[in-house]
Amino acid sequence: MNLFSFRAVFSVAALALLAACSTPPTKNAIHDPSEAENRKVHNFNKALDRNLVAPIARGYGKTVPLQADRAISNVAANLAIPGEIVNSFLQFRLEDVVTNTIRFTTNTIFGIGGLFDAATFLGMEEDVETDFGETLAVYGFPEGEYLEVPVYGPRTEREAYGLVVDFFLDPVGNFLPSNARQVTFPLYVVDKVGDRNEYDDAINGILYESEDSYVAARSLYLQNRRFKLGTTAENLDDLEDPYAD
Amino acid sequence: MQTNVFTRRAIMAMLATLPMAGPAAALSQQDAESLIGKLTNDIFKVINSGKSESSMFRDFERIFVKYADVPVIARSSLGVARRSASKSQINAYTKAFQGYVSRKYGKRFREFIGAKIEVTKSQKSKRGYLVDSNVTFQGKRPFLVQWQVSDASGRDRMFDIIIEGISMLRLEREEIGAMLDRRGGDIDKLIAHLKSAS
Repeated sequence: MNLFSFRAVFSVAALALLAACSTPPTKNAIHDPSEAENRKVHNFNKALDRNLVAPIARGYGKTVPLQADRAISNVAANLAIPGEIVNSFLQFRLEDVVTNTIRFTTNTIFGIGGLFDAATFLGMEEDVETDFGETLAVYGFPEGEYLEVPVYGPRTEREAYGLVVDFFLDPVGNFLPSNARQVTFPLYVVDKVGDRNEYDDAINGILYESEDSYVAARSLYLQNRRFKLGTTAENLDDLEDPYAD
Repeated sequence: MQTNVFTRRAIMAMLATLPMAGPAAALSQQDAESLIGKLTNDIFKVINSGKSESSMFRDFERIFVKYADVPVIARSSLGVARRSASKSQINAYTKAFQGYVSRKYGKRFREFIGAKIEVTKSQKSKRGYLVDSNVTFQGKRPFLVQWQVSDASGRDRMFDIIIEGISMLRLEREEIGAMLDRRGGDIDKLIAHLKSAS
């Protein structure tokens, strides 16, 4: 109960901070007034990746069998769904609530606690990935400035607050015994290590092969995030027009 | 006087034939989709050919030149700097850029081995058509690759690739812009760098 009210207070505090999000001049522009600090964090994240995460991920890739890797990411994806259901609900996207509820139920029961992706095997719809950052976007909160968050990497101000809220929202943690996080959090980390291994080529390309990895990561993140939130997708006016001048 | 009229006639005659090769045969939705179908087919043939990396890069460059509006893509990637560049700098830059892009994206294509790509739909856009294609992998989430096609250059050409919302034109303009900044805006230094970079 105590923990719950702490969470509630924290969420409200994060929301209050959001109101202070600065707004970029135009919708598609890059708003990065803290570039100097962001670059320092970027260098820290890069060093962390080079010295710790990437070597662990490669070791993971060599030792963990593919089936175990798949099972880990299945469980992690399944555990993420309740939080996504809450967010879809907050976004008034009831269709997504239904899609994810069916998937979660199917994989928890027939996929033995999410170890197997029974839903995909049965040809069900893909799960809808969402988070509190998207919920805020739906409510009309501005994107804010671009941030590079230690460990987590590129975010916008809005998505950084969303990250914090999602961490405390955690409906799974509320249902499972209080020490469940001792299992779920390491699982989340291991899943991310698996992802780092799976996308090794692409991540190395961005971080170590582009001349200015900060600019590359920022462009990739912002474009992809805006696309996922549907602020630029299908909006034909936002397409690049190199013939204009 | 006589020659002048003749020349004018000759020019008129030449102009009259131009539309037949260019805008008169306006880009249709089918043309746009079939262009992307052929383009992706050519790319995947190379990806799955098992050739050496360097020979794949040459193949990708050939495909890029054949299907894409390279001069327009290159100019756009220079951003505002293109206004102060001379014609010969633009030409040298375009050549260096096309090799750079072929190597840079060619490396990434390795991850597409075993994947399937399929044109799914297209819609009218400002300059032509936006063609959607779906890339599917065994055991992975499918993802969306969109292509902008236009005949503004006089021929049917692809001028932007958008992967899950990430426009190559935009990404390159931002990355090239950063490279140019690092070289104090010196385009010749940028060209020299792009010749070897990937």
